[in-house]
Amino acid sequence: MVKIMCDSGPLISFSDTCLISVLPFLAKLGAEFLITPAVEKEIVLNPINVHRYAFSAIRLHKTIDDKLLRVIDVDSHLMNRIMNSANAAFLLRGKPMKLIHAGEAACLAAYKQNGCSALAIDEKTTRLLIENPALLADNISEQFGQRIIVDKRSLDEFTSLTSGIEIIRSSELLAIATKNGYFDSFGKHKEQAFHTAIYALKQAGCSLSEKEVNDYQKLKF
Amino acid sequence: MAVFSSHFDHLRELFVRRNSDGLKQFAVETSLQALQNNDKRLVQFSIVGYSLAKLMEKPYIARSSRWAKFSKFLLQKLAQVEKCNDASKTCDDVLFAIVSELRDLSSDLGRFVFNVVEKAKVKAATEIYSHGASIGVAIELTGADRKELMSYIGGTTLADKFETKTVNQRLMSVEKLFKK
Repeated sequence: MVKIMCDSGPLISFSDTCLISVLPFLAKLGAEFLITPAVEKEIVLNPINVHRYAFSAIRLHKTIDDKLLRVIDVDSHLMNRIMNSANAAFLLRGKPMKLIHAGEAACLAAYKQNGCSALAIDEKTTRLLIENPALLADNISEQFGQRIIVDKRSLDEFTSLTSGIEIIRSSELLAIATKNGYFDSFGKHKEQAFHTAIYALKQAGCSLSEKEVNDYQKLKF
Repeated sequence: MAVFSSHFDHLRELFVRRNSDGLKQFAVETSLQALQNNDKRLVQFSIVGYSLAKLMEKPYIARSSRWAKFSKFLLQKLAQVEKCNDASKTCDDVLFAIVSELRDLSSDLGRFVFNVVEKAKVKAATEIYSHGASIGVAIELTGADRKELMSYIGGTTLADKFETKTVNQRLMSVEKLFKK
């Protein structure tokens, strides 16, 4: 069983690009998708009463009803430790910068609590804090024209609390599904289906660089 | 930090001079101040600045009697703010009233599918996101709609600065997960 904790972003992107069936497809390959109550609120409870977004919310609601997404509780103590350490790690002009939100911290905490294999998240800050905090610090310094001071103790605490977390994006989930036959029903158009779906995910907010999009276009299945 | 009275003064000056570029710059600066200070109220200045800029750029709006009425309202509200500090409720009330009026104006007069105030939130959130904060923080500070924000960001080249692993490295990791 491959336990995948999901942030809101990939789920919303899949729903908006008519790719929500990637989830049941991957479930048949052994994936189990978990979400926190905050994510459920964001993808279903909030948008379901907004006409523009209601249908997307209904589709995701059905995914929960069909038990393809499982809502799990979060250890709030661990969540707060993760959030507080992340948000004390970088100082700009002597002040700590708030980098991540409680929702993102909850996903990280829930990942650790449930022994997950991957966190599906499309936004870049959480990913960078885990994979390359120095790159994030450099970027912020460049953007503000001011050097970020790293509070090593806080960053080390965050790194320790989130050690071993594997980040994947909606694009990688789509790629693994495609490799296993997701677009086979498209026949000779299956590669084009994948390549254009990657563009659609980027437009829906998946943090993909131009180079990465080009690299995805080169994939053959 | 928030020296709100100077923000109101600057806003007034830019509006009176019909400096739409200045208002947009003001919007960017105040959104980043909101991030640095973790202060949602500064985002309201950003929303006002951007909304004013976009509305005044449209001749059919700027020449309307409704705009003339709004201009009087805005200047009256700004005049109410003699001295503002962090704890002042007057500041919050004035900002709320201005944003509310801008939203109504945009709905009534605008030819936009998306209200200019909501667009201003997305713009502010994008600045905050591009300067290091997560999408969650950007949304929390600005109240921007997540989907609209994700869609807007998706159409930019922001992600180009944030590559860590290669696509092949990521795909190999995912394949390993499913082989276990």
